[in-house]
Amino acid sequence: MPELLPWEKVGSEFKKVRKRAGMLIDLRRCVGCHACTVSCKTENEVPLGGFRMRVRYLERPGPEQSTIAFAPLICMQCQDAPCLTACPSKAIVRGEDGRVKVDESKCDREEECITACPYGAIFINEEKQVAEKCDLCEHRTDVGLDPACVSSCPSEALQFGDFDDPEDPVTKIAADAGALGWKENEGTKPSVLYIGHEPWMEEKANSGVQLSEADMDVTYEQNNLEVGKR
Amino acid sequence: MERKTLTRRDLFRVGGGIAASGMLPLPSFAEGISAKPLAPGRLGRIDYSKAKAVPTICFGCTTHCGVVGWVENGRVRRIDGNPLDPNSKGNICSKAQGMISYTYYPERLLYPLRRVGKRGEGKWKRVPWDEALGEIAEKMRPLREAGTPEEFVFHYGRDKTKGYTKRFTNAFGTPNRLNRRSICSSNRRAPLMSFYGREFEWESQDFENTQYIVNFGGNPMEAYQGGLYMMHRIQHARVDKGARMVTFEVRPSATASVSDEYYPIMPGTDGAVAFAMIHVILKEGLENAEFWNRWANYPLDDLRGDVAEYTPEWAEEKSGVPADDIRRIAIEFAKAAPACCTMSNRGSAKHYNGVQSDRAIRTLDVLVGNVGKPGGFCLSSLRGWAGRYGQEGLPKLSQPGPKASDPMPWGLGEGFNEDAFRKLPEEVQERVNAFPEFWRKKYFGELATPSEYPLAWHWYQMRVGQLVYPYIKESRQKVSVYMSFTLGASYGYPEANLAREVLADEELIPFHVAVDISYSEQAALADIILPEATSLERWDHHSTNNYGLVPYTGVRQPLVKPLGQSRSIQDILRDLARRIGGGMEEYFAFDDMEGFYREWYQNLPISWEDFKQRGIWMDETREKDYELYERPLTEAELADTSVDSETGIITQKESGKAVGIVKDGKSIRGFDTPSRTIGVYDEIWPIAAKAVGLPLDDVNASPVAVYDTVPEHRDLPEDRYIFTTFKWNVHTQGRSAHWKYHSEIVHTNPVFMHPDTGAKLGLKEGDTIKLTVFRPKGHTYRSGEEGAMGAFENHVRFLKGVHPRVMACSHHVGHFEQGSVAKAENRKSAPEQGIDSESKAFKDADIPDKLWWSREKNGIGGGVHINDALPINPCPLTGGQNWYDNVCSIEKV
Amino acid sequence: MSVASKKCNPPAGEDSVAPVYALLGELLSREIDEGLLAILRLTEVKEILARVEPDVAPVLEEIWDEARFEEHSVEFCRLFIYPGDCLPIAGKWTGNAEDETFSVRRWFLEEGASPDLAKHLAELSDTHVAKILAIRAGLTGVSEEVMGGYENEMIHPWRSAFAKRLSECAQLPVYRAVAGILDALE
Repeated sequence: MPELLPWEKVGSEFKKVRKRAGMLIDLRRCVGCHACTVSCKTENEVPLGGFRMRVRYLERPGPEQSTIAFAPLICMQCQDAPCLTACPSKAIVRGEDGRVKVDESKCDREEECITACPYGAIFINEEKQVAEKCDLCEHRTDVGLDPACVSSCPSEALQFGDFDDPEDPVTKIAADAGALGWKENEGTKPSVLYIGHEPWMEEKANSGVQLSEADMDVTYEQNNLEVGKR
Repeated sequence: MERKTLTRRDLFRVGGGIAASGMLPLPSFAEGISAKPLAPGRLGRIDYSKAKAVPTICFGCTTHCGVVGWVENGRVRRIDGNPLDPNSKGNICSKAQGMISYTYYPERLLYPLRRVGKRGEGKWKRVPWDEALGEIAEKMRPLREAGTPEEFVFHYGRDKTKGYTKRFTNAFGTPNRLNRRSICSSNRRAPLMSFYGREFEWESQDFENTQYIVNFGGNPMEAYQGGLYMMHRIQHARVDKGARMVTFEVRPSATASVSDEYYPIMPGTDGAVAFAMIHVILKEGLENAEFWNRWANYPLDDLRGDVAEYTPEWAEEKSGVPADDIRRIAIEFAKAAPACCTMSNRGSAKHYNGVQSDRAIRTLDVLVGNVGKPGGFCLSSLRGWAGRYGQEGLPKLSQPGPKASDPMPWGLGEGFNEDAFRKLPEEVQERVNAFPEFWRKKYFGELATPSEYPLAWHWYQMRVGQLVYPYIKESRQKVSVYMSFTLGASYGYPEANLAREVLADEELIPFHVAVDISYSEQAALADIILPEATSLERWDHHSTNNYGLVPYTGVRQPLVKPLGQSRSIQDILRDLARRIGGGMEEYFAFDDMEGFYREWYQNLPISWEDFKQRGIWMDETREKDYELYERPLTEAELADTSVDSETGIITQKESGKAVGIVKDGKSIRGFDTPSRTIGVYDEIWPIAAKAVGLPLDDVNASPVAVYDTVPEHRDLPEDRYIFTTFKWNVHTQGRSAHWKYHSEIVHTNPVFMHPDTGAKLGLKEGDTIKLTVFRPKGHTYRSGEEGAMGAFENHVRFLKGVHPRVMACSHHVGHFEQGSVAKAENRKSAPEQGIDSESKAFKDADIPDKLWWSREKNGIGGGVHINDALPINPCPLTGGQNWYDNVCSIEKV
Repeated sequence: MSVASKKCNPPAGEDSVAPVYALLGELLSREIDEGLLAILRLTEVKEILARVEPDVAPVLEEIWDEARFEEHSVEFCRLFIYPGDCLPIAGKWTGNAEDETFSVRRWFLEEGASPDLAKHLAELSDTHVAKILAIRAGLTGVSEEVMGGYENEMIHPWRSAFAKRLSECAQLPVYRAVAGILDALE
C-alpha cells in the first residue's frame, strides 16, 4: 500500500480533537504578503467588501522608524465572546472545541454582534443575508486540514492549535514568547494570541478587521483621503 | 416604442409552431434527473471528501512554485502548496489563488475573434478555430515559401513552455522570437554570466544556512524571481537561527520592513556602497585571499588599487548611507563568512551604472570567499536537464524530437543568410561586418540581436524588447506577421504609447495575431485574437534553480478542461504548423499532448503515473550543490582532453570545449567560464564598447567593476526627483489587475514620497500632483532631448521610509482594458497618445456593484496608467531597461 | 426535494413552452445563421417577435446578404462576447453582490445528470444563461414541481434584469426582440 501523499491525508479520521481551538499569530514572521487574506476569500467565497480576516499595514509611528508593521487581524475566538452574549436570537454558538461560529439559520440580522465586537470581526453577507465571521474553516479542520489562512502562510506566521493542550506547539511557543491577545483590556479572553504586537498597533488598527474610514493603510486604499479634484 | 406583453398562450403557440417545424430539437436527459436545488449564489464550501487535489505548477508570477489545485465538480476551487516541492516546500503566496480568478473571470477570452472595422476600433466577431488558423496560415505560408520567414515575428511576454515556442519558430525558420528580458533583468544577468558562465545567470543563495545578508534593493518578500523560495528561508533563518538582514532600498518595501536594518539609499548608488564595503574589507584585512587568489581572474592588489578612493565617506556622500554603518556592515559581513551572502536584483541593476554596480556587489561574495559555501552565494542548476555543468548524473530531459535546427545567422559568406542581411540599413551591416567572429556567428538581425547592444545576446539571446517598436517604426526590418503571446507591451512597456502606435499601423504591422487569456491592451490592437488555455488547463515542463541546492523537476498538468473554446499554446502552434505545412508538420506530428510530455520525461526513474501524482521529482540522495567548482573530474570526463600548461585549462580535444582546470595538480571542474575561473575581469565590456562606438571612459565600457554616477543624476537640481517603480506582493506585472481579491487589496497606485518632501512641495496626503518625466542623458535612446518626455497625474501618499529624493509608484493598475475588474477606474497618462480604446460598456456604468473601490460607488478608483510617461532607456551594451533612473519634477494640481 | 423522472420528449402541446426556451438558448449562444433565421421566420415566431419589437418585422422580411449576417455577428459579439455589453453570465444579473458562480451544475447534484446538449451549448460555462435556458427546454417530462423549482431557482433570479439590459443596449431589432421574449416568460 503506497504511502499517502500529503494532500491525501484528508478525512474525518485525521480530525484532531481539541478543547480550545485557537491561533498563534507571530508578527516577527509575517511579511504582509496577504496569502492568508486571499486564501480565506477564495476558500470561503467571501464577498468583496466584507472580511473574515484582513492583513493590516501599519506604518510605525516613531520619527526614526521608517518601516511598516504587518498585522493579520481576525476573529479572536474569544472565550468570553461579546458577540455571543449580545445576539438576541442566540445565533452565535460555541463549538465543542471552543470556536465561536454563526448559526446562519437563526440569524435575524439584528447586528448586535457587530456592535458588540471590539475587533470588527463580523460583517453582514448581503447575499446570504446573515452575519458572517471566521469559524476557523470548520469544514477543513473537520477533515484534518488547517484553516485556509494557516495553510497558505509561507512564513509560518499563522499557526493553529489547541491552547488547552500543554503539549501543543502553539501553547508552548505562546508561553515562551509571552504571546498576548489583541486589545487584552477588553477582557474578551481571546483564543488568538499575538507575538510581537505593540500597543500603538491596536490604536492604529481602528475597527480591526472590517474596512473603516479612519484606516490609513496603504493597501485597501479608500476615499478617506481627500483625493484632490480628479 | 412600447412593447406589448405576451401571454402564456402566445408562448404556447410559438412553441407549438417551432416544434411542428422540426427545425429545433430539444435536449434530453439520458437518465432520470435527481435534482436538489441549493440556495442560489455561492458554490458552497468545498466538500473535501469529494474534492480531489491534483499537483501542478503555479503561474501566478514567474517563480512557479509547486502547488496542488483542489478540484470539485470539474471546477478548481482552491490552491494549496505542494509540500513535495523542495524549493517552495508547500508554501504559496497570495497570487496562487489568482489562477482561479483568471481562469473563471467572466470576461475571459474563450473564443477566437476576428476584427471588424479598423484595427483598434474594438469591433469583433467570433470565428471558428478552423477559419482563424486558416487565415493566419495563409498569411504566414508565403513568407516561408518566399524565403523570408524572418518577416514573422513572435513576441512573448511570459513563455514558460521551456522551448516549445522555439520549436515552432525554428520550424518556421524565423530568428525573431522576441521577449521582454531586457525590460526585466538583463542588467543583473550579464554580470552573473560574466562571473560564472552562461548557465548561472541566476544565483541560489543558501538562505537556509546563512547568518548575514546584505540586500541591495531586492524585494523577495513581495516579488523577485524565486522570491517565495527565498522568503520562507530568510524568515526562518532570521527568526529561528539568528541570521541578520541589512537592506538598502528606496522605500519601505515589505523586505525592507522586516529587515534588521534598513537604509534608504539614493537610487543608482548601490554600487558606491558595495565598493566602499570592498574597500573596508581589504583595509581591515578581512578578505579571503586564499579563495580570491585561487579563483578570481584578477589580482587582489589591482582590486585594492581600484577601490582606493571608494571610502565609506565617499559612499556616504553619494548614497546617503552613513559611513560608519557602511564600515560596520562590511566588517560584520566579512566576519560572518562563509555563511554570508549578498542579494540584489532590479533595485541595484536597473540603472545606467547598474551593470557595474552589480559586478561590484558580486565581487563582495568572491572577496570573502562565500561562493558555493554553506550559507553563502551558491550556484545551482537552472534550466532543463541536458547534461550541462552541475547536471551530471541527472536523467536527461528534453523535448521529444524531431526538432528543427536554428536558422542561419545573418551575414556575408557561406553559412550566412545573405538576403536578410543585405536588407539591413548600411550602417548596421558595417557594424556587424566589423564584429569579431564570435559575434558574427550569432547575429540574427536587429530585432533578435540588436547590433548596438551586443551584450544583450553575447551569452545567449536576452534581446532588447523595448527597442522592438522603435526599430519597426524606423523600418530597420520588415515585419509581415506579428504574433503577441501573453504580451503586455501596449500597457507595460516604457513608452507604451509607441508600442500602441506601431501596432495600430497596418503598414508597419500588416497582420497582428494576439494569443492571450484576457482582452489585454495588446489584444485590443490585433486582427485575430486566439484564446489561450490558462495554467490550470495545460501542460508544461518545469525546472528552475532550487534554493535548497538540489536540482529538481516538476510538471504542470491540466486540472480541468480548457473553458469554452480556449486552447493551450502548444495545441495552437501545433495546429498552425500543420496548416502551414511545407515540412513544418514533421516537427508537430504528435496528436496526444500528454504523450508528448510523457516522452519529455521518459528518462525519470519513476513512472509517468507516479510523477503526475506527485507533480515533482528530485533525487533525495543527491548531494547539495556546494562548491561545484572543486569537484574532481571523472575518468570519463577526462578522456581525450588536453591541458594548457600556462592556464591549467582542460579542454576536450574534439569539441574544443573547456571542461575543467588543474589546481594543485588536481583536475577539477572549476567554474563554467572559458577561463574556468571567476570572471571578475572581463574584456567583453571594452570589446563591446569599441564595437558600437561607446566611449571607453563610459562606466559601461570598463573591463572590471567601476563606479560612476548616473549621467542625469549628476548635479541634480533641488526641484528634481528620481521616479522609480516597484512591484506589490498581491500583483504581478501587468496581468493581475482583473484578479478581484487582489485588486480589492491594491487597486490604486499613488505616488509615494517622504512627508518632508511633501511638505517642501506644499502637499497634503491625498493631493493630486502632475509628475513630469525627462529623458535620460548618457549614451541611450533619444538621450538628452530637452523638455518633458511624458507626464501623468496621480494622488500622493506619504511614507517616512521613502528616500527624500524618490517618487515611487507601481504600474500594476491603471488598465484601460482587461475587463471591468481591471478597469474599475482608469485614467490614461497625459498627454494622451495612441488608440483610445475605452469601451462603451465601461462608460455605460456596467461596473459590478461589488467593486466598492470603483468611482461609481464613490470609491477611490482603479489607478492611473503611467507607462506612457516612462522613457525607453536601454543601458549601453546590455540593453537592460534603466527603469529606476527617471528624473522627474512635481507640480501640485 | 429529490425526484427521479423518466426521460421523454412529450408530444407538442404538453410543454409547448420548451421550444421557446430552446430558441432563446440558441440566440444567446451563437450567431444567427441561415438555419436560425429560418426559425425566426416561422409564422408564429415572427408574429410574436414583431409584437414585442415592431422594428423586427421588416428585418425578417428582407433577404439577408452576407453583410447583414455579419452585422448581426458583430452585434452578437459586442453584446455577449467582447466587450460583452450584456454579458450572458447569470450571476451578474441576480442583484446579489458578486454572484458569478451562479451555476446550473449546482442544480444537479448527482453526477451524470447532464443533458445531451449540442456542442456549442455544452462548451459554455455552467454559469451561462443560454445553457440554463437550453436545459430548461430539456426538462420536459419531469414533474411540474421540479420544473417549477428549476424556473424559480435557476431562471427567475436573473431573467428580468438581463432582459432589461439587453433591450437597452441592443442596437439591432432582432436582439431587442430577444429581450422582449425573455421578459415575457414568467
